[in-house]
Amino acid sequence: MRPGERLALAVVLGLVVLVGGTAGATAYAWHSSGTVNVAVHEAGPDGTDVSLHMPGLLLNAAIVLCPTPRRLDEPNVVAAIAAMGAVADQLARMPDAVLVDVRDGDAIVRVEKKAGRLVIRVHDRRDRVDVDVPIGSVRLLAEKLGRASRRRAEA
Amino acid sequence: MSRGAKRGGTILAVAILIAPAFAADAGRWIHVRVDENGEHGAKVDVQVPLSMVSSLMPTLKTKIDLDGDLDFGHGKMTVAEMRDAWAAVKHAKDGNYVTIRDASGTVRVAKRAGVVHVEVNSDGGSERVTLRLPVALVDAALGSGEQLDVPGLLEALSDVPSGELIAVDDDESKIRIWIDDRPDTRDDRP
Repeated sequence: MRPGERLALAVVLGLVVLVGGTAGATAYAWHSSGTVNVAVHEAGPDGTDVSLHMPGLLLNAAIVLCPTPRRLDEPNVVAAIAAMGAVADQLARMPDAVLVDVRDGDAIVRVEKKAGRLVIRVHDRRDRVDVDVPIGSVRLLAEKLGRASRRRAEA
Repeated sequence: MSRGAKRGGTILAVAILIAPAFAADAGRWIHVRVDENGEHGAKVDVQVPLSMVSSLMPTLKTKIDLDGDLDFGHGKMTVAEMRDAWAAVKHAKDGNYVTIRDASGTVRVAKRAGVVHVEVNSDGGSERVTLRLPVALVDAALGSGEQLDVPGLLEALSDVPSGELIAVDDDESKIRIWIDDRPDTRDDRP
């Protein structure tokens, strides 16, 4: 093989490795961050129907990129953020379990950890809300708000 | 030392090092179940790891006003007074301490093997309350200050043997609170 051909082959192989590696890393991140599912159904003529299915990767990117709210230094908010962080940590560590299950006639409220996801279901005879988010995203949000809250408190 | 023995020793050492991490993950769970009687009665199940409740305590303490008095319906009792009364029960021998029978019902208080049992039956037996209070748990709850020691209570709960702590039955509902090493599933639910 001539030196020119060798260089061209090296460039092509380098590009293949670069593109393949990037695609593989993106696919892994896409897969490992899961999907976010939100479905809201309000009955009646003025009721709304919202159905959102998006990759967790996009939600995580939004959490990282979006600005934090201004009023993070109020005592109630600081306490709520601390609680959210603690719960997110515990959720990540605990085994799959149904945390809350309330059934009253046709109404159901269920909060569950299932396969690394936080699943919230609120149904009654007319309306339904289903939320299914990766716990990693909940932790990410709690960590970001916690950091911002601490920075504001120190400032 | 043979190669197999060395490998076995290494595996044992690694297992000893990582065991606490798994033990911490397993944790203890507190379960609350409320079942209203009847076909359309509400059913409530709440179960959370004790470690989650503990980590929420700083937040809960700002929300709950835990003053030093306990209201028993016929007058208030301070935590210090409660602690004095409790000390008498705690240091006494096992046995039945209180049995009250009147027209409205029966109250029994007994202590057996480090556990205080309280049974209340009223309205001809249709309302029943059973409390199983390990001595260590009440000690921790009463603490040494002027307020109930909720963080101490949670810490003590993690050492209490698994089992039912509170059972309340009446004509309308059943309430159970118990401690366990794992999350529970109600078999009749999806």
